[in-house]
Amino acid sequence: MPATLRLSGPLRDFNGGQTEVKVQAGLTVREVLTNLGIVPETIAVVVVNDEQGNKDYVIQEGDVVRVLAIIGGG
Amino acid sequence: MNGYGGKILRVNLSTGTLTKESTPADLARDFIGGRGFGIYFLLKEVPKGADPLGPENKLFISSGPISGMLIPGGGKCDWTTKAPLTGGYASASMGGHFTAEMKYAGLDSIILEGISPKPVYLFIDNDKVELRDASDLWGKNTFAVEKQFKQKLGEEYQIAVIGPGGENLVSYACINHDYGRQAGRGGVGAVMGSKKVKAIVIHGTKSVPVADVETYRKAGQALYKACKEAEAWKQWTSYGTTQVVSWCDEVGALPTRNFSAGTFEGAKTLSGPYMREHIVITDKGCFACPSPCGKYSRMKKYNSNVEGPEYETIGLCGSNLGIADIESVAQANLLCDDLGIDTISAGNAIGWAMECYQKGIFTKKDTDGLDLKFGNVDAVFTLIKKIARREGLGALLSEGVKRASKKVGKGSEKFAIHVKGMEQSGYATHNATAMLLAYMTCDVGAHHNRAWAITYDIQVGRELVTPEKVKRVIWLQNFRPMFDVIGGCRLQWVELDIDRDLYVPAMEAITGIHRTWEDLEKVGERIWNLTRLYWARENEDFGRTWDLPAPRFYEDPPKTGATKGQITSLETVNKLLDIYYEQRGWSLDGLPTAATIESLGLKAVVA
Repeated sequence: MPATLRLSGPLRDFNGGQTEVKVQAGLTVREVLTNLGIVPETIAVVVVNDEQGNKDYVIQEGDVVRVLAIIGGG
Repeated sequence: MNGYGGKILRVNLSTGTLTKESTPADLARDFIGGRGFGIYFLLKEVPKGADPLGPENKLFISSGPISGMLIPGGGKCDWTTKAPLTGGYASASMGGHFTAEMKYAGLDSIILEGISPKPVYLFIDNDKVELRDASDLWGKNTFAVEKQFKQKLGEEYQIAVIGPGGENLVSYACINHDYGRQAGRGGVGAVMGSKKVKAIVIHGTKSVPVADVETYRKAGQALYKACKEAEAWKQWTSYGTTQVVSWCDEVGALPTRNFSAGTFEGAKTLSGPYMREHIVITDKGCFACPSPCGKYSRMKKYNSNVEGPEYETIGLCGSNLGIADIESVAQANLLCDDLGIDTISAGNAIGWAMECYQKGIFTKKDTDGLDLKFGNVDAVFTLIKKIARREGLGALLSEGVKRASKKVGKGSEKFAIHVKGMEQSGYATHNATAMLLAYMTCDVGAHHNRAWAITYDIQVGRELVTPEKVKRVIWLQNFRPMFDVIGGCRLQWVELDIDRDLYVPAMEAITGIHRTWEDLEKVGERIWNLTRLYWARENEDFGRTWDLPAPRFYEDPPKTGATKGQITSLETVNKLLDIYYEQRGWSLDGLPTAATIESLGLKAVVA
C-alpha cells in the first residue's frame, strides 16, 4: 500500500494542480518534496497521520502526509 | 448605498461639534472603503506639514463593504492618520468586532479632528452620539477601561481604547480593542491621545442594505464551506500565526538579538506546538471568522492571562531580546497591550537598546541602572513600563529607533532596524531579496503585511534579483492590502488558500457592483501611488534614500544560524530599487512620474 502526500495551496502547482499524490514508502518527506520540484525549506509544517512530523521523517506504507507552505505570513 | 452604512461621522473635538455627512457615492466607487477612504481623506483634509500630534492632524476610522457582513473575516477596520512615528502615512488594520458595530450604527467612517480641551470618550449607540467626560478614565490601563465599559453598558458594546502609552504620546502607541486586538502600528494611539480621546464606545442595530440577499447568502456560505474544508484549517486554527516560528528559525528569518541573526537557540520553546501545549487555554476569533487564529494564554508564573502572543510578538519580544521562555514573552505581550504600545516596535526598540548596552554605547548610567543584557526578562518588563510612561531610557525609546539612534549616535544608527522610521517587524532579511524589497518599499515603513514574499524567495532562489521577483512584490502590494480596503481579513486567503474569486460574487451581491480582482488590484495600485505621493508631500527630501533598509542587512552578515555569512550587498539593494521604480512607473528617485499619475487617473486627487 503506497503512502499519500497531500499538498495545499500553491504547492499543488508542482503536482499538476492536484492535491493528492501517491508516494513511495521508504523515502523521507524531504526527498519526496525534492522529487516534486518543491524546495523543502519552503515547507513550514509536516503532519503525518494527523500528528506533527518533520521533513526527515521516513514515510511508511499507508501514511497520509500533509505539507503546508506558509504563503502569506501574518 | 448597498453594502455601506451610508454616513460619515465627523467629530470636532476642539468645538465638541458632532456632524454626519452622507458617504459620497463616487468615493465608494473609486476607493471602496477602509484604507482607500483613509488615504483619500488624509490627502484632502490634513494640510501639508501638519504636526502629527497637533490639531490639524486627523484620525480616520473606516470600515469597508464586507465589514460586519456574514463573509469570512468581515471584522476589519482601518485607522489612517499622519504617523507620529514616521512623519508619513500610517494605516493600521484592527480586527475584532468594532467594525461590525460601526456598520450597524450606519457609519462607514469616523473622523476625529481637532483637540479636546479635556479627556473625553466618544459614545455611539445608533443615532445617539455624544462626547462624554473621561477624566476618571485618563491614566487607566486599557483592560480596566474596557472591562469597566462592558460591565456598565453590556457585552454588545464594542470598545477601542488607548492606554498610558497613547496618553503620553509614545510614537508607537496602539489602540486596543476586544482585550487583545489592536490598531497597532505607526502611533495611531498617540494621535488619539493627542486629541484627548480615551476611548470610542460603539453599538448599532441597523440593517445594512444589500443588493441581492439570496446571492449574498449563497456566496457567503460558499466561502465558509471553502474555509472549513481547507487543507490547512486544522493546523491554522490550532496554532494561528505561531505556526511559522519554527520555520522562520529554520530558514534564518527569526529576528534574533536585534536582528543580528535569523536563527535562535531557544526557538523550540517559542514554537507554536510548544506554546499550545504549555500555555494556550482557548482559541479566539474576530467577527464572522471561521478559522480563529487568536490564542488565549495562561501564564501560571505570573498569574495572568493574555490574548497571544502572536508570531510577531514572539519574534520581537522573544528571540529578538534573547528570551526563550514563552510565558515571559506572553507577559511582555500583556504589559504592552495593557499599557497601549505596539509589541513590534517596543520589542525592536528594546533590542536596539540591548545591543547598545552589549557594545558599551550604553552603560548602567544610561539604562537607569538596568542590566540590559539580552535575555534579561525583568529588565524588559521594566523598560516596557518606562516606555509607556516615557521615563528615563523609556523616554528615548518611546521615540522609535530612528530618532533614538540619531540622538545617541556612536554608530548605533547602523543597527537601528527600521525603514522610514518604522521598526522592522518579525522577519530577518539578510538574504531574502523579495522580502527585503517588500520591507523597503512598504507604504507605512518596515511592515510585513503588505507583501509577504519570503517563501517565494526560498522557492525561486533567495539571492536572485530578477524582474519577475520584483513583479511578484508589486503584485502582492497591489493585491493584499485590498483586504484592508474591503474591510476583511486576508488570512483566509493567505493561510487557508481560499480561492480569491469566491469573494467576487459575494462583493457583487453586497454592493451591486461587479468587480473582478483585476479591477480591485487596479484600485490597490492607485492607493499605493497615493500613499507614495503623501510621503513625498510631507517630506521634502523624500526619495530613494528613504527606501534603504537598515545597514545591518547589507553590511553585517549573521555570525550564526541558517543565514551565517549571508548578506545582500548595497549594490543589490539599489538594483532592486531600480527595477522596482521602473516597474512602478516612478522616477529614479522613487517618485511617481506625471505620466503615471495621469495614467492612474489620480491628478484630481493630488491636485
